[in-house]
Amino acid sequence: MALGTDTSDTVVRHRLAFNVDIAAIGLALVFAALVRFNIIPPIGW
Amino acid sequence: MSALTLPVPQAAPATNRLRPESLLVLLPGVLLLFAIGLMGKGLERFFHYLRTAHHVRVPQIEYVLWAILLGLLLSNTVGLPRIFRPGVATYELWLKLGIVLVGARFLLQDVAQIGGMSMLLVVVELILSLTVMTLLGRIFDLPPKLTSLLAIGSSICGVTAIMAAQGAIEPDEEDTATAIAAILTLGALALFTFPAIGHALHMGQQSYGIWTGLAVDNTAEATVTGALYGDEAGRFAVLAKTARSAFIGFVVLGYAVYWASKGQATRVEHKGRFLWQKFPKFILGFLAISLLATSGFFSGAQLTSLSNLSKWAFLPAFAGVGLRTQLSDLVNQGWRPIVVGVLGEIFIAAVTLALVVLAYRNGGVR
Repeated sequence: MALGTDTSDTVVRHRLAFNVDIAAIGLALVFAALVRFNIIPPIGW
Repeated sequence: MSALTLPVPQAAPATNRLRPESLLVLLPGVLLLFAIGLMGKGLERFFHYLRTAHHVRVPQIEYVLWAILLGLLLSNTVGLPRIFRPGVATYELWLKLGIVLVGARFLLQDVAQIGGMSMLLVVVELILSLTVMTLLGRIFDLPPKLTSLLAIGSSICGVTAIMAAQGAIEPDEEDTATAIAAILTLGALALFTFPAIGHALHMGQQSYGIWTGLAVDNTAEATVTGALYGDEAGRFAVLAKTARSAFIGFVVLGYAVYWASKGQATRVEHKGRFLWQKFPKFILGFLAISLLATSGFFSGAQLTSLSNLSKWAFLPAFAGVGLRTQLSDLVNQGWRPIVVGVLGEIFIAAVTLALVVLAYRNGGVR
């Protein structure tokens, strides 16, 4: 198989060992708390 | 199908626990995602500097497009080395983190108003796209379950919906692979066609974003296609796409019941539990952050921080979209699924555009 011919399948179907939705919500809530209680400085872009 | 190019690996065993070494395996790919995203942002600034400080005539290319182009270039030339693949798969985590944090930019009443209007448009889009895809599948003589997968993928939310349907309607593995390849190919085409159409029609940020959220199949591609038009368009694409994703359980359940009635899939015993299992839980996170923002839990500056954090989360997700897109899928999957997909998508894009324009004229969206 030529290099790069199976990337999309491999990446899309690679199963992570954790629930992505729950991890995303957990991380978001942690960041929200860090921002809310000024534990981390203001985030720029 | 002779054109099958995408083997379907077995699902990970249920005992696949989260261990420190399994997180370490993710590190190279995660670093690659962030590196490509940051390079995209750096290139945007560099080109801006060349234009403004040195008056060099270079195009203005947004970081979103740079990140996708760099990812596409890498994965379609030298390929993505195996060591990076587990970490690159985390692009979905960064995408959903970004979506949840975007909730900070929407007050709950806006979500109810715009999301409610999106819901109405979604219902119309669902009925039309499911009907048209089914008809096209019959006309082009596609296997019935492949037609079901294409209909599910194009009407709801792309790969996630197809994966959700895989366990419910029990299709051949090659049908699943073909449907995923077709949906990803169509998503890649949308990245380059939708912004051009939006600019040609002089669409507003909000109306374009809602159109994108309604018409582009995959959540990642819908978010990127919206962001390519502007930050506000990206946020509204996320909102409309989220409203659409909420229907995933109902549509998959409908197909599961249909195929079970034909004796070609296992009967769904507990429909309520099935709906909850298929429901995209990250929507609850989006609503929770929106609720906190509405209740005054954050100051204005803190809301800005969360909004910026959302952009940082989207950065590696955009790189992941480029990295996992294979241009060879365009030619390797056989012509019939892609023709059905393209015709169906053109129809869905035209109908949703008309719906959004109608809503726009009636003052529903700006």
